[in-house]
Amino acid sequence: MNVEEMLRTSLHGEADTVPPISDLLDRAVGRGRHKQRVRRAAAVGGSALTIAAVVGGGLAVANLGPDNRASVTPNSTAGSPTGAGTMPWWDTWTTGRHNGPVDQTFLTAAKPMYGNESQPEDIQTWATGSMPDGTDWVLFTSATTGHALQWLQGWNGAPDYGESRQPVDRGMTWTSFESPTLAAHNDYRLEQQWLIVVGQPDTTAISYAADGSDFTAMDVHDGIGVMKIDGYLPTGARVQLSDPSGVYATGTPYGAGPDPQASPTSGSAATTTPTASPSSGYARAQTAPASSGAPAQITPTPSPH
Amino acid sequence: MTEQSFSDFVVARGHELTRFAHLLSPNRAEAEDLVQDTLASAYASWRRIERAHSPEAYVRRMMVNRHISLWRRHRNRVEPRHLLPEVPTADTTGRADVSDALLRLVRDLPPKQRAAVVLRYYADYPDRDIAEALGCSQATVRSQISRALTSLRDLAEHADVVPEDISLIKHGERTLQ
Repeated sequence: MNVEEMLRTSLHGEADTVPPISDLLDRAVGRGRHKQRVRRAAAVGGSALTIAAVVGGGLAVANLGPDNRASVTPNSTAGSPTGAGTMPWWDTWTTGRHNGPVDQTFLTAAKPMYGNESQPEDIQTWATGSMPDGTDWVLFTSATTGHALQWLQGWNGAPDYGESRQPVDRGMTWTSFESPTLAAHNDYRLEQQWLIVVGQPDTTAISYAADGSDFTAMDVHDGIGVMKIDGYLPTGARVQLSDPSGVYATGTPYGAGPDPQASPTSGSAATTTPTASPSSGYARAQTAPASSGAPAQITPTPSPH
Repeated sequence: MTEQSFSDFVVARGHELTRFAHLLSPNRAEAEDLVQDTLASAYASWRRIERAHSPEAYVRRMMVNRHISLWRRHRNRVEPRHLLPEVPTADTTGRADVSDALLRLVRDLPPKQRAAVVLRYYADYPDRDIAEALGCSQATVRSQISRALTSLRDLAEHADVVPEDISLIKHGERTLQ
């Protein structure tokens, strides 16, 4: 018997020692229903975006209902540090070491398919790239998910079907060292990052000013604005969101503050601490509150169940 | 979503998928998580998966991808494997030494190589299907398996197995009863 046959015999022998999982079906269906609820929540227009933005000046916030229509809540509620489903929110995604070309096969395979659709939906890609280890990634929206920005990664041209579509927010379970987030890469010298601002669905324009006054229009689609910026967001950075009636929000993007690499002891920039998620056991980065007077903070809230 | 169809699938193939997960994953708890999470994802996408040529192959591919993904995510984590209790295996034929040594070596392979080995030598997949499952070319599959077999032989030299068994593994001369 050669080594290959020995291997085959050993593997089958090992498999024979594995007992069945008695409640496998129940567990799979239970977890599967949870996943479905999360996806369905994303599909109705962003209610799975469990992010609240707190901005010094106060912002108009829109809660998206099941009919995918935005309802504007008073500005006074925008100061709440929590509040699931409040919008707009924003966040930044680093590129830096993850700025390699993306595999076009991966992008094609990334197209989602929902319900009774006979073919995958086209996706609107907002940022793409690849990592040194060959992982491809894309931030995208699609017609069904509409306003919800989604993150997908994979390799060898294939998305990770096991944990594929998921809205990008502070509750995402993908915040690991693989995710191109500032939180995950604060050990590296940052060169560029994506500033992604998610506004109300009827947002027509989003502008960014590094110095707080000289605004530059961002690329906007479906209320989402994207711009690649150099380095960290400076302390005085501001974003401005407009709808057909004019400017409806101005605020400080999350994470704006002194470059933590230039001034590592600065207390005003948000810091991140990897912690263990008790529910999954996976490492997850959480944002720790900055000191008083710091810019906008985003507080994670539970995903819908 | 045809829930009955999914239930039928899990009832019929669930244990086989559990066995497969156990061979992919280094310990039993992780293997159980792997198969449950994979089936949960399959449930959420079952309408699409059941239309596939082979739903089981599709689910196996999900499992392999997920396993490699988890490994990538946790590869910096220190595994105190030596602290974990050994899962007892009945030795009814006197071949346990060789078999256990071989399985230990398989577990120490990089996950993609391990997946390729399991798909070929356990699931009996042809190279074409392994390539599809791993999302790579058939040539890559062949090189992965070749590398894995080389690694197995190299690892055997430094593994904690008796010299006689190392020699037998290296040269494939031992006849298992």
